[in-house]
Amino acid sequence: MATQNATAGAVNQPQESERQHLPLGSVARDVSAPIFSSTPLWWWIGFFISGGLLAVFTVTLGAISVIGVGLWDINNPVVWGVGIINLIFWIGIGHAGTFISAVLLLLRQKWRSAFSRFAEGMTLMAVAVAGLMPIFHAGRPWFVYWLLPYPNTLGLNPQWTSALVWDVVAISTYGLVSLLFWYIDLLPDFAIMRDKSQTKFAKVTYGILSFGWRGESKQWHMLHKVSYLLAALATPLVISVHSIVGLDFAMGNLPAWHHTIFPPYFVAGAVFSGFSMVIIVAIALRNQFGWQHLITQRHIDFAAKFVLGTGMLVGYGYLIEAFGAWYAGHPGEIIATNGRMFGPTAPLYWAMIFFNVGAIQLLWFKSVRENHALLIAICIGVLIGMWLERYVIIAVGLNYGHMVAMQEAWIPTVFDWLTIISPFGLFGTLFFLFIRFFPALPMFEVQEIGYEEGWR
Amino acid sequence: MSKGTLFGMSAEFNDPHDLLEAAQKVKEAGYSDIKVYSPFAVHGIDEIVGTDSTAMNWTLVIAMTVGVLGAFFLQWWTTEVHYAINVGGRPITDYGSWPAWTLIMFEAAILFGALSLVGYLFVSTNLPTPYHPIFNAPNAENISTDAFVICILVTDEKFHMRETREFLLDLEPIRVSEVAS
Repeated sequence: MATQNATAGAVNQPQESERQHLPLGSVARDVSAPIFSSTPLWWWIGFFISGGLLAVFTVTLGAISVIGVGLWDINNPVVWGVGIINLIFWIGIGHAGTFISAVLLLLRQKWRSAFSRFAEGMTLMAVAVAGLMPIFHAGRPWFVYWLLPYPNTLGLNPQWTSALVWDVVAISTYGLVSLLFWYIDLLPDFAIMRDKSQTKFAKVTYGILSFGWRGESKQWHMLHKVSYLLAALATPLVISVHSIVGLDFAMGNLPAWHHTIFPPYFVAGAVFSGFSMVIIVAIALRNQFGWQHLITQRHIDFAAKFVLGTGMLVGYGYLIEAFGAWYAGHPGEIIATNGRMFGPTAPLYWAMIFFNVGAIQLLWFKSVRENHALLIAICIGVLIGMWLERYVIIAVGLNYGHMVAMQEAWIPTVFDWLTIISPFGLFGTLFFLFIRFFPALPMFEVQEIGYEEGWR
Repeated sequence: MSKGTLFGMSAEFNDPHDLLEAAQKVKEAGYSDIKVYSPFAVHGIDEIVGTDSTAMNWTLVIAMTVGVLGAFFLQWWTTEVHYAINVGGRPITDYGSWPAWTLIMFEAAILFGALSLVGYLFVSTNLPTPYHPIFNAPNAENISTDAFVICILVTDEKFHMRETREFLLDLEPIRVSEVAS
């Protein structure tokens, strides 16, 4: 019992030995310092690389709109190509942010404060990328408003039982709720930025962004309560978004998709890839901004364990898929499973297994979780593996339909490759702007937790 | 400064614990119209100042109900009244396809709930506030980092220029100052 209590205590709060001697005001000073100091060279380099990729992304999407989606290798039977693969991948990256800010808030996991701000920012940027994908995949982006119910002379309305309309509703709700959740937590931090600004322009800008936050006790009371209630709303929401995406597939009659495991398996996969991205960004931020005392090894350790745990759930999903195919004994399912494992694209399937199930087993070892270079390598592997998973489900899955005569593989074109790589430009550009102008850690929250735990 | 041009009398502390003790004493002395400003939420202050947020719960319940019913009505009206299509397992009448509508009803409940919560936060705490008198207090720019301030408002029945100042000085704050309105 004694050891149990000790373990529970250790899980709930960062060790005192790691975060201490942070007097009042020091968190605000350390977190706002990079924003007020001159722009470092690495920022310009990263910003220009991202900006270049963003330009490529813009041109790619422009070509896709003007010439057509035929530039991607989508055809029958593989009607969903890189557009939908990217949609699922990017929505998944976003999920860790909501998971950290909502689920871990409800569970009162105080270590979340080291990640919550930038992870939630990542959510918004990833949702922005993800939202573009189905719009362009649908082929005529200028008619995107057809998905919304609006009065029109034809008297037509959206098809409410269509998975496409569900996606529109789920993703736009998710994006909007995430934005609100992120922004209300930024109000007190913008107030800190306003008060620390030296120039009139910065003071006015941050003042407007803070909506005149003044730190009144009533404001704190309302903010905390709204945060908890929003977390309670966002928790089922984040589960529902990827469940709905999973249902888009599971509802189909395709052998590789018709599995009840899909909704939970998609959610686990999303949190898995999202936490990997969070670790990569957290290690980069703490090294570049000197925040080793704010994002401690303990925080990174927790996140790495999350990657391991959700990765095991994803591995279970792979197992059940294969087991289900064998146990159902349905010829189409067996052909699809064999095709994935031993067909022409088998190396990609096994690469997915290697990255998502094999490599993460190293995270059982504390020394690996402490070796940041190796940890980043594993996390990049997870991102590649999770992209491959969506490829295996969507493109390879569509390849093996019931009509054996129609089975044909998806071979990426130049535009497919551009669409795979260039969205990182939009994500990166937004992220570099975010860390340059916005506080990337929730200053008031870290200070509050610090005070409660007695670092004075 | 005369009482007419005043927002209140403020006392500044540099520790949440001192703030809490002082607020308790201010309350015990009979002052009721007080505001407390701090860089982060100080536990226990809400009981002293008396913050009530039960209306938020009702706002949330009503907004979510409106969301669910609104989404149901939208889907029902568009598919069964406005442009009824009786094909593909979508029968008219009896709300035939309602189970497939629940996803959008759920999303609408969450969306309306979230908007109502943030709306409540903004309305109940007077945001946005382009101008607020507390920023006239000395060291007000440190309220967001390390200053903890109690302000007895001039509207308090017990407020008295000299007595209130002396009372606040007895609490041993860093400074006591008049805050212009």
